[in-house]
Amino acid sequence: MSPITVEVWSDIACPWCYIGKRRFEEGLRRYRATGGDAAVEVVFRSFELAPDQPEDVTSTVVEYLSERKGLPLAQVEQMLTHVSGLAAAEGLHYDFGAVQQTRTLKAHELLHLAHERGLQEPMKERLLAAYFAQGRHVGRVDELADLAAEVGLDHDDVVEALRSGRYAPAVQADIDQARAYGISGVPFYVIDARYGISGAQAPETFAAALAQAAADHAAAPGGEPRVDQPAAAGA
Amino acid sequence: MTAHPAAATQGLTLLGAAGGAAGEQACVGDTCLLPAAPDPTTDASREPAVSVHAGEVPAASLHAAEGEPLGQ
Repeated sequence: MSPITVEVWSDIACPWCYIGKRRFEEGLRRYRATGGDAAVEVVFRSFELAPDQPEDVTSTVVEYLSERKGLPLAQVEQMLTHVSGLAAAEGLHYDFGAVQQTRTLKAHELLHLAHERGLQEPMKERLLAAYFAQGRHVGRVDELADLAAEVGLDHDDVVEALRSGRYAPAVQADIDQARAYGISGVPFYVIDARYGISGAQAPETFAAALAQAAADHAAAPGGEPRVDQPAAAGA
Repeated sequence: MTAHPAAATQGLTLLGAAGGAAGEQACVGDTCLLPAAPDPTTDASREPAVSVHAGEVPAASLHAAEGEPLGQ
């Protein structure tokens, strides 16, 4: 039987995406705990929340939000403290004071390279932790290559790939596919190109969705559920 | 109330919450919907979401869930 395919549209600079990653992982654990044994393949798809963001942003997140939204610094800090608390409940330790805002295109290109090398999940985890917990700059090629080397990718290979922009079309293809689905927010989970789950929902939602997909596989002739995937424009 | 990010989703059967607190735990356009810190003097379940930007995109991106292109 073919594996259940879970495509996760997300961005690095998305606090809910990291929280959602943990909740999905817990959902998968609960699915397994209730006897679910279907193979599950997870693929992270690209979604740029701020494609016009420059590589370097000099203001802190708090300063930026305060200026952008016209809110007092203290109020912004309170909001970020609150979301940090929600993240902490998932075992994540956000440090918004250290976050270096940047465009995430190169990070997405790196995730495509990592997917080809079978290392996408650890690369995704490394990038999210680097951005939200460690104040690393995920928009610079050299820093991305350092992070990639930590998960087993070749540093020079990464530098060459990112400087060439070889994976930029793959990033755009993901964005086009998201558009074809009508996805406008992340994280967004697409299971077997059939079911959609929007947002960092509760683990039980993911567990139930996996159980539903597994039932579909079991019921379909040859174990292959019928899929009607909308084509991306120009694809 | 910001439209749910999945409001315009095509060809997918949506599972889970499609609105409310669970459905708002997503970033739309460059805008992440963060719940306001609970106020102990009010019913937390009625607390509105607060939208904050993480990038340089017009506030109109808040309403991209109405079917507008994303990431533009």
